[in-house]
Amino acid sequence: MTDGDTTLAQQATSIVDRNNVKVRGSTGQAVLFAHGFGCDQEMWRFVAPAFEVDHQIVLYDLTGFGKSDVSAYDFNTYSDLSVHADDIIALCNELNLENVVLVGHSVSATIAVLAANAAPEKFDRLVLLSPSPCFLKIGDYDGGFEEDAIEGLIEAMEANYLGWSEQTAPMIAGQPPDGQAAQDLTKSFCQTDPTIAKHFGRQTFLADNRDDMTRLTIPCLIVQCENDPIAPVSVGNWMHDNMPTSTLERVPVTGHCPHMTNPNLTIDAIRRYLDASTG
Amino acid sequence: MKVNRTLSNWTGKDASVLENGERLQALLTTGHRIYYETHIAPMLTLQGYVREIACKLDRDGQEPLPVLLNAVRRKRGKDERIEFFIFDATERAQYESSLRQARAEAEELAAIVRSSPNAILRVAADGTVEQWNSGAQRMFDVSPSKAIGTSIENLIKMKNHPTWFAKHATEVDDENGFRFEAEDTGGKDLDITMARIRHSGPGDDNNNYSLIFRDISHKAKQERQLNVLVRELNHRVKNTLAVVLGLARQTLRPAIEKQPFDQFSQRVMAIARSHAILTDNYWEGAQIRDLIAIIEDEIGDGRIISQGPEVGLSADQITNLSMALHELTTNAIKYGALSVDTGRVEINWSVQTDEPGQIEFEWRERGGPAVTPPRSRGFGTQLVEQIVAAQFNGSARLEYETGGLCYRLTFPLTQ
Repeated sequence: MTDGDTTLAQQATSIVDRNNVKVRGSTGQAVLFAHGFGCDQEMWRFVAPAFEVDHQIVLYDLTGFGKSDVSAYDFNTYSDLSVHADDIIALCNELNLENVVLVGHSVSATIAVLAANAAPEKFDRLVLLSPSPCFLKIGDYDGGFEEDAIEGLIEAMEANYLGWSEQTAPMIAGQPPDGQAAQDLTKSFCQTDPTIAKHFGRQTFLADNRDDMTRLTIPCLIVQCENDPIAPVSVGNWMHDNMPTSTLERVPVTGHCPHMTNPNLTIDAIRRYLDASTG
Repeated sequence: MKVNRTLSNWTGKDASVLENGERLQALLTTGHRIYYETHIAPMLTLQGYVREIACKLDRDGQEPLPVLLNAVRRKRGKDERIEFFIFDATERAQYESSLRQARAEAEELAAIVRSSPNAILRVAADGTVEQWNSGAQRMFDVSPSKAIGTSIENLIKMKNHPTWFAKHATEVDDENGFRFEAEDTGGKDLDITMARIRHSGPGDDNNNYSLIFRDISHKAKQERQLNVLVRELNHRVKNTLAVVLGLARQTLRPAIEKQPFDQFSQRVMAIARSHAILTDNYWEGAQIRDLIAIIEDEIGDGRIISQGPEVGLSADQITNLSMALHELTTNAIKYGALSVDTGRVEINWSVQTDEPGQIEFEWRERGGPAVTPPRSRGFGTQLVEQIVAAQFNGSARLEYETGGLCYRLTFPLTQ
């Protein structure tokens, strides 16, 4: 083994641990899922298993989120979204993934495009769920929000960090206790270090990555919810108009998380796209 | 959506409007709407309920209403619905907001203590260390885990005083702190100051001490070097003056009589004495009183009666006044009040009240022989009247009053 291989192997161990990487399914084409702002890989719980039959499934937590090594989130290093894109490329290198289908939700759809622009040879296609390259209203472009709304979000996160730290048993009126597993979930699920959440929240919602969208060279599917208060239809249309390799699919979903509220519709949309491209 | 009357009242929207396809998250302020979509909705899907989520209801034209939101998903056959229980949380939101602010302030202050270059400790009344910041770890080379629970006297040893804490921690001067030479557990020498913080947090039993240690080893070393240098300089200046006097004596003896030569050498010695005073103060000036003390020592027997406030003079002023006093003293011993046993000199100085910043200095001789003005004016007279007045940027007068000679010097107090 050469020195270079040793370094690679050590790094592999560190990234798999650092980002709580889970690999499942068969030996088929790899599908890598990147979760959006606010949660962790649990968000893919209703969608990812559907691809295990004929794909290798790779799940991970973004650095600083979920069960990733929070201490690895250096506030100077993670100064913009491209560093999370570098993490994805490093992850592909680690696991020797090639010809990858990269599925990104919300902010991770943007991160997926940044990764594909930086290392197009790694990826076969992208699936962008509820994407938005820019959440702000800038000139003619209507991303949906003014900047002060983003400060409102930061305030909401701060207000609830206090409340959540005291949230214990899963008991509200009429709700039966669901045992230890549910209690653990309550404590860990969507719990993020409040400082990291604020830092990443600002990066997510104040970023403008429209130019990066137009540079994408590999095929991508845009899954646009019909009634998404975070990434509105106008944004999906802008992306489709400005991304020559894109396919746009609208799904009759209300909300920002089709993979959670309407997993079957989401699975079908991804399936159709993968089948059409391979066929 | 089905709503009760309370929600209609809070939002100012009629039930008929709310129940016409409106979604709950649409009633929230924009920031909380994003939060709902990115955090609450996924939680609700994954675990089936959320509880006590702080939200704000948007109200047309009014301040948003802080609420706590509980929700649970219920399935009845194929039907699925989410039940929301919303509570007015105005007071709790205010309380939590001030709590967050207080916490942010406390965290900021705690970060300052943590990262301070000074050692900041909390010590119980018996000397047991309770808190030990990273500044203390660096200064004394002991980790917090080892320091906490240990007696401070075992961690910071005062030279020649093993039981220093009991005495000195209680008697620290709040203004200047307490300075001592110490040794850390590894035997390294340190010059440190210790200050005590009097006011501690609420609920404090006041039996504990908050102590700040500063490592002044570097400063103390510089001070020692400076002292050596100043003493050396003073020594050399004195030596040089002595050498100059010796050379003058050997060179001029054949040409000049003894009396004027002694006068010359005494004048030089007067300058040397004023330099010694200035050296003690690192040449930053001295007090008028310091100069008078020299004359009192020289004359003795309480024949110099002096009175005046604390007035600091610059190094140049001290040298000049010293020369003038030397001339006056010499004259008084020879011809004036100090030439007879009954004579005395009164020296008074004061800060002028009508002209702030003006100092009036007076030398008055009494009880001496009758005074007669000299026929000619020598160098000594010229020095006390003209040279000194010019150096002080003031005015000087020598008056030959019958009762005794009187010298008055008026000058502005320099900064």
